[in-house]
Amino acid sequence: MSVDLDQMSPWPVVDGQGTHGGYCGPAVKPIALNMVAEIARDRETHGLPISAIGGVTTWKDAAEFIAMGAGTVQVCTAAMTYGFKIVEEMISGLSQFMDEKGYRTIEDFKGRAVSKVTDWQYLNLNYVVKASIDQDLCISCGRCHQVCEDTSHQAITNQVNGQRKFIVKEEECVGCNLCAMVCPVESCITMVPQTKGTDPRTGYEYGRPYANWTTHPNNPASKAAE
Amino acid sequence: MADLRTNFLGIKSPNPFWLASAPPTDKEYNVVRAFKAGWGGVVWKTLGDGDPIVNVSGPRYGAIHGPDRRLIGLNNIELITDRPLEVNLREIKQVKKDWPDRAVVVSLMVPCEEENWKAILKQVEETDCDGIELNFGCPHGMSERGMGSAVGQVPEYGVAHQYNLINHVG
Ligand SMILES: Cc1cc2nc3c(=O)[nH]c(=O)nc-3n(C[C@H](O)[C@H](O)[C@H](O)COP(=O)(O)O)c2cc1C
Ligand code: SF4
Ligand code: SF4
Repeated sequence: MSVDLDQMSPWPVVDGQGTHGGYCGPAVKPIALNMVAEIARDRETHGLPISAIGGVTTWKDAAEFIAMGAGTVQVCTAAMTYGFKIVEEMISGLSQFMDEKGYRTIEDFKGRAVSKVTDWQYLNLNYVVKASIDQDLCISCGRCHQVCEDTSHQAITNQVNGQRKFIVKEEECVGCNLCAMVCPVESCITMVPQTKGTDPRTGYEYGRPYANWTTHPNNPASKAAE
Repeated sequence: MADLRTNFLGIKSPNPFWLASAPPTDKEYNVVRAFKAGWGGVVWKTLGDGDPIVNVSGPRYGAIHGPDRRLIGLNNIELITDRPLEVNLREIKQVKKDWPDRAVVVSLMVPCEEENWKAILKQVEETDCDGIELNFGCPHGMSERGMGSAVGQVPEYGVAHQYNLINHVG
């Protein structure tokens, strides 16, 4: 978990010693969600009732697990962190979400996301998004430029005509989403699907039909390679 | 308001939110307060057989906090319930009787011998709980005693064992 650097022992320290334990809470949710998804979509285990556990803290976490095939969710850390009353928000939140979406019962949306889980090789390689910065929302903090410049594709300006300005260079942007995740202003950077025109980065038309790696010419195993 | 009722493995609960087998479900006092707060069900803190286990009285938990001190990850070195089996069984029976509309599932962990499972399942059945959960996942303390994840990490063992359980007991 961690090392207490004063006592030079793993934490929690029990009279000078430590041991590994069980890890839970929000940090394990992505791992748990993946496991539930794999059980739900595997041919052998598909349809097995799943009571999902791991980091459920809000109604939204619960809804995600249910959409991924869970029949119920189980909660420990959230109750231990915020007390039993947290279930009130979970119940009202889930209920409101269902009302908004027109789901009358849990069964109405249970497992709805399972068929969307696929292997990387079946993803559409012709789908293109580009980052777009809302200049009215931008506070010019510069974080998007910093991360894209240092660790991605040098696709965001920090100056335009001598002015501090952050604009996405369409010809460089690979649509990775890093800038949108580090931007401190919500909805300031959006990833916009491209449908018309030509991608200045690749020279290909936007909006070409679905095509995945299994048929890509660069794939040595591709059957459809000309 | 949407209908949140669930029917999971034939176990009905007013909503899909169950408390997992852990300290929040370790005793009647906790579980009753949880039901009053609105939880749809509980999986009772894992029961074992023989003399109750002993927990450390030093710190049991570790946490990773985000920069705003919001808890992101929780680590624990706690074992299964450290209360006598009879006390837990009595309380489970009482709780299920008092809260018939809530799900009450009992988590179990005993040595992987048919006799042990037969014996405890018979006792648990008498509580009228809605189902059992097999704890083949606990990664610390108990696994060193041949239980918990020591079973779950060996798929063949787990499958054969569950098959036996279904055949001989359930
Ligand atoms: C302090 C503590 C004790 C736990 N004890 C048990 C246990 O006795 N049996 C069990 O099956 N799981 C036990 N768990 C695991 C929880 O049931 C649950 O699976 C885990 O905490 C993940 O859910 P969460 O992210 O909502 O906390 C324990 C968890 C914690 C934090
Ligand atoms: S990270 Fe967001 S707010 Fe900061 S400069 Fe970039 S777009 Fe503007
Ligand atoms: S350490 Fe704090 S939370 Fe734990 S039992 Fe003592 S008072 Fe309660």
